[in-house]
Amino acid sequence: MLARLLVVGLLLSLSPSVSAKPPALPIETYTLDNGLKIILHEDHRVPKVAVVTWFRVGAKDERKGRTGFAHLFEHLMFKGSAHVPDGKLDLLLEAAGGYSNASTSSDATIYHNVAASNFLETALWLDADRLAGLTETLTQAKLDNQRGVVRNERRQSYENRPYGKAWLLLSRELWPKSHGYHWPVIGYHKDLLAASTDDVAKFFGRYYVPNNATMVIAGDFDKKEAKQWIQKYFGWIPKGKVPDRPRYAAPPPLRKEKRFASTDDVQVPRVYVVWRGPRAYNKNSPAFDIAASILAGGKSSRLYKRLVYEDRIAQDIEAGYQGQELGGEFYIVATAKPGISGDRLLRAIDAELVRLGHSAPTADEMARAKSATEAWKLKGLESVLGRALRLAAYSVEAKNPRFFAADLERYRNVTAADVHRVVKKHLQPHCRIVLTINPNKKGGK
Amino acid sequence: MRLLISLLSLSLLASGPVHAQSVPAPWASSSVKDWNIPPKPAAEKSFRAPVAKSLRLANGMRVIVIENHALPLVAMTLMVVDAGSSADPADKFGVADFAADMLDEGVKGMSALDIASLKERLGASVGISANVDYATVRVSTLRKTLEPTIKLFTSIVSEPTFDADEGKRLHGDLVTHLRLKPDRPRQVAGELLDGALFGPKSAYGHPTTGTLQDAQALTLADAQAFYKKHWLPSKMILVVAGDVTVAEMRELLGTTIGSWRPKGRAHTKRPRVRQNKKSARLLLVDRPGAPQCDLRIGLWGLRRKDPRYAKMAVLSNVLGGSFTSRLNNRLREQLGYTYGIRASSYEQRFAGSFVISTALHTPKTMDGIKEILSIIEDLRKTPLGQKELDKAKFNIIRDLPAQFERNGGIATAYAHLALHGLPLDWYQRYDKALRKVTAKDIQRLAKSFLNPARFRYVVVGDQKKLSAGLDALGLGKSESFDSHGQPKAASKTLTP
Repeated sequence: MLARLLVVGLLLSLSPSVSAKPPALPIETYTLDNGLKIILHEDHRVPKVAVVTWFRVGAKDERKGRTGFAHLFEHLMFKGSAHVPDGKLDLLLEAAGGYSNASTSSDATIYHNVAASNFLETALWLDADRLAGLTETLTQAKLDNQRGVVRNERRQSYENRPYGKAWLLLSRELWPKSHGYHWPVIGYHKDLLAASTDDVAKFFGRYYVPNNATMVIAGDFDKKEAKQWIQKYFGWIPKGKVPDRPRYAAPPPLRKEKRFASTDDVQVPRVYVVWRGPRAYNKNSPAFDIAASILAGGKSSRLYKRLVYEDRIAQDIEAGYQGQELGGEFYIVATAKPGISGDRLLRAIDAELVRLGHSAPTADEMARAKSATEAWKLKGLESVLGRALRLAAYSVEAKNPRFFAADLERYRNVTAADVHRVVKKHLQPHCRIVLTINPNKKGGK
Repeated sequence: MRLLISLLSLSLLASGPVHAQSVPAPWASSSVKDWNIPPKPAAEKSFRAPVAKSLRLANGMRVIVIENHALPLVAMTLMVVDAGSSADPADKFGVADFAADMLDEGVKGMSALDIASLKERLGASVGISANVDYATVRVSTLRKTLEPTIKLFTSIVSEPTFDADEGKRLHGDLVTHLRLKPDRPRQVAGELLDGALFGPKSAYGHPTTGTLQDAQALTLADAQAFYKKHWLPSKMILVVAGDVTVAEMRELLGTTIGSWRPKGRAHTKRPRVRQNKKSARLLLVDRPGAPQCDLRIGLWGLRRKDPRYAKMAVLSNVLGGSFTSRLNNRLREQLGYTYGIRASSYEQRFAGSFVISTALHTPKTMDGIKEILSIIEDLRKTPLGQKELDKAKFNIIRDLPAQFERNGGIATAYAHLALHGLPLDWYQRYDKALRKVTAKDIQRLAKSFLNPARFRYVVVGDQKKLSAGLDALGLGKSESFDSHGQPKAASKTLTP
């Protein structure tokens, strides 16, 4: 008797709720007098902290002849500052069971320090010293040294990687020459070689000011104590001028498809089909994400099922949408099986796009895509660094650090008609770039 | 104020070619007494790994449950001991991998596409793969779809259909993937090193997928036979971490995977794992025009249960296990030869390897190799200073909690403990062992272990530019391989 009741009770408790409440992400936000935005999120699951500082400066803020500069500058932020000798930042944070790293995009440079939670004050001191005084110990030797590292990074990530050149070529075609997204974040070798310490000082003075930054602290810390440290280490830093940055006119829409090809040391062709899309957090961007998932999100997705599973003409296929400040990119990338041409892949992709343009996705496809997206968003909150990065993105890009619940909601609200409209109106042949990378004589059979 | 600024200006002039055009910050206006002194850390927080509850299901499967109610998520890791490539029969290399890949290509009542669709609907991910000592199924899902996810997981593990059409398709994909191996030079480098250390046709030394020739010879029947022989509940450990309770998992698993009683008795044949004494010292693959060369330096390592495990962790951290490690600091930051270099110790059940791995700017390859050897020699000759030793120890100790942030990380951590028969409180013991490591320990280990006479080198790069220099280094007997990692002499017989 008892066992049966127990079983029934368990079954009831296991039945899924219709819409689970999103997990709470309690935060406190405020802004220092010097404009530095602060977001604090206490999370005591493990004794770690993450300090994420998001600077609104990226490759699109580079001037002509200095491509790759924002990323090169990012490297210099790890070479010591006014009171921190070169190498000490990493030594301290590693001894604290953590590390320091950063990433640069066209719009932003995002730094993160991760450490055992009893080292939070150390992490803040390090960040304050480089925010206030990076260039006070800058030398030609440091610049030359990191220039060398960046050029090795370019070799490893792009030049010595099969198909590595693809996005370098695609950005050039997708965005006009005068547009901030035209050139790659990694930059060109000749521009990297031309960068000077004067350039570094000027860039630092213009963009690395507290009023151009948002700092998130997430993890096992005490808010009251953190606020005292923040005031102590950052409160005194003078506010800077609002950065005078390049402005870009909205590019004229693409009116004609551009197809081009390149070769690489590879065995089989790969096709990249790319369109411009909406800006990040634009009201249409969730529909683009869901469309990408329906097109190539899994084995039963439209493109995977057709090209990989049924026709067996592709080794792999993926689709995605990347939203940025000035606009986004929607892409479909397929790698051919041996003996298949890029054109053959493109014809199959187009056939599926036409099909999806004719009739909206099914209710099941929509449910699957939304479920997968929701799971992914929740998983991103498992780590302290993941939370800090997400909160920073919500604050800067969505202009609302408390956006998580609304974020889940806007995906739940995407309709089949929305996705249908994305495909029919936006993913058209006339406004896209198609790049095929073919095997060169060395690679091909 | 002015004095401070002018003092700063003087010191700036004195220190060399500094081009600080921006005015120094008004440091004196802060309340910090001395910016030069790093703040003292607060009191160390003691960390205990989350409690793991062990139970056994009626069919002999071992289950470990870790409750984590932070988020409405659940992760599961299934370890299938001895279902990895070390169990591949000598004439069927790649079969463990093929078998694992077939599991979600069709189960009783559901096709491959049905399975894929259901997974997505549940917000779940299911990844199945064969490693060397084991095969694994990794699941992650939402708390609200836990029960149907477990039912799906049960079907995948206990009733795969090995459908003929799916088998043909998957086999074709595996073969094509292997045909394209020349596009993955780093994979080729890694496989060559394993072959050099363990023997290319040995249990530990052959690629998990098998070579192209191996894979071409496999049949679906081979895969199904392997599955029947090795995927048995008595060989399985299931770790569940997330928003669950122990009682609920006992009930849920008991009525699903725990009720599975396949025929077949578990085999516990221990694989033959021996050092490959016959291999060349230097293994070469040509990639004409490559701007970088992929270098691997490796040697026979420790097995997982070796009592020197903690000492080895510190040694590999010091040598190449962090950004400030000796290798990375010197070759990347100081010399600019590479974007990154690392040293790692890989401990499997019966043997292991120690590998230094990097991509060197081609013209710097010889200098790079010489530098690596010189750094190793230094480590063997001179004991570490206290600061460097502490940095390495605490880099590991203070990062241990990170293993337990994500459910997937928790599940994997405990699954590996169970695989190797290590106690569930191993992380506490590891913490203690790390704290005890001395500079003498490290030097002794480096002396006995990092003996260059035992090194094997793999160089994948532009041989026209490299060969003279490599000869001059006198590393020993060399052998050339094609872009698939096959000995050059044999490449003539490779079917296109």
